[in-house]
Amino acid sequence: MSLRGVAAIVGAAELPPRRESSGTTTLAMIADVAAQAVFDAGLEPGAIDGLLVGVQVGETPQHVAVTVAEYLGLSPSYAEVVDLGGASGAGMVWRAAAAVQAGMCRTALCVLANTRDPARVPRSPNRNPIREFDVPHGASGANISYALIAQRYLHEFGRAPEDLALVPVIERGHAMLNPDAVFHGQEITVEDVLASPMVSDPLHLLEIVMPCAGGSAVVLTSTDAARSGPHRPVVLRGAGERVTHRAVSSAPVLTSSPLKQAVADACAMAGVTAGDVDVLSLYDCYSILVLITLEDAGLCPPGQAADWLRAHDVSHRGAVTLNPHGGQLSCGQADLAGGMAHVVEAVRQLRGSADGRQHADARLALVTGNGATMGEEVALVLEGGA
Amino acid sequence: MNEPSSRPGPLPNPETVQFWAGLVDGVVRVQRCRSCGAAQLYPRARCRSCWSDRLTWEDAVGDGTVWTWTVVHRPGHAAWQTEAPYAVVVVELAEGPRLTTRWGGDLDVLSVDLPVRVGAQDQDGYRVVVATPTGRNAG
Repeated sequence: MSLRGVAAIVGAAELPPRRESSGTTTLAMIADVAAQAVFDAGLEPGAIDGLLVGVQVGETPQHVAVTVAEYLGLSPSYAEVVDLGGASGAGMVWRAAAAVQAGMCRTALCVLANTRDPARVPRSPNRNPIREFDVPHGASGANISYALIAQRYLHEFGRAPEDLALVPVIERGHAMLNPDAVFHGQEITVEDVLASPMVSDPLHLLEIVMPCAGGSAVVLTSTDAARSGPHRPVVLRGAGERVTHRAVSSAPVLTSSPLKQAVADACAMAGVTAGDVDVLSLYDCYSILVLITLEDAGLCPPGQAADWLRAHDVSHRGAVTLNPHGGQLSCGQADLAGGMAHVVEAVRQLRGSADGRQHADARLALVTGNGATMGEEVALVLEGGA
Repeated sequence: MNEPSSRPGPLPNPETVQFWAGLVDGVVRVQRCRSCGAAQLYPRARCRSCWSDRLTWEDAVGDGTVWTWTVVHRPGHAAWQTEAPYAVVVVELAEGPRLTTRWGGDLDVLSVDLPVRVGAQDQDGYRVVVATPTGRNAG
């Protein structure tokens, strides 16, 4: 398999280079050249479902692709930053072709732009809409963002704080079998959660991940090459991605997330439904996210995740297990590595190497990743090899 | 720990300066696309729906509803600690766009879908957006 002949460039544009660009922003220039390239292709913005951007000097260092997607009103099923310096543009082209070949997108926009204003240090005005429009109103940090989501969820579905509190209680219980968890050995009750300090109504301290240090990594090779490795291979069967927004005010809705479509895409590629899965390794930075993710995965109707959790044994002994390692709410969140830890736990379960918390019949796992405020979403379906 | 600095204020740029200038005049302004008619916030150089650059500014009528809200007890920025507990509200304007605002009413009347008015409020030498309950019965 190669990329030979699988994709073609159908639109192109370049802004006339100039020495200075006072009075504009990098995002504005990205929008200008993107519009010219897409219109040159005879397409409308809605046709773009792949987005490749570069690191922008002087601009927001993280959440770069979603910042551009939000600004352009796009909901790509494949989005990333290509950080290869002067090779970024060429590096984007083969990655876009690979994404098209893989079925992760159909039409990709590869865009790079930069301002140059010698009067400014850094040389580009930093367009970070959250910093510009949320922070001056007292809304700094993810705790407030997820509280805004949780508040709307409780109202829309008539749910109670006890429903949110259930999530860390269950996960702490699972962590009793994970000696590596920061909160190993510290079981809690719903009453404990509700008695912990209110951080941002309705979220209490025990519903929020604890920052910690750590790391996690995986190695992939072809399934053919994997057969000669020392472990039972864990095969990627499906993947889905949606990238939409950073700020709560820009979210399409608050009680569901773009993950819904990412899970649907991953399951369709895998040829399974979420109900076929044995291991749910679901991103859990906050209690509310687990409830919404269970609903978006289609395991229960909207608003009923807490009822579903009460009706199912989701420990490693259950038919389907949810975060048997205790999740990030029990393990702590080693920044970005916290999300990769959900992949690693799925690998342990599918290899059959999860020791005291091993699911007896772990064959299929659903892994989710979540970034920003339910706006950077990835779903994977992994299968334990024979 | 660093010393708590002052509260971070607005950072107007060429795309947003008219929004912040509107608050000085006491009004919330939204962008309107002359090509497709969509209204948008936050301000951008192009319409987020059709990518036209034919954008104009208009004064919002000032009516909206609470899309969601929270009362912050432990702020994410240390300079807000003396203010806590305080509310952060996301308002859906009658024109459609949503924006994050301060809250100018009692904390215990906050609820999703509550009708509000939006306007400007002085804060640390600049102006930010504040929502207040209209006083009408919700619903």
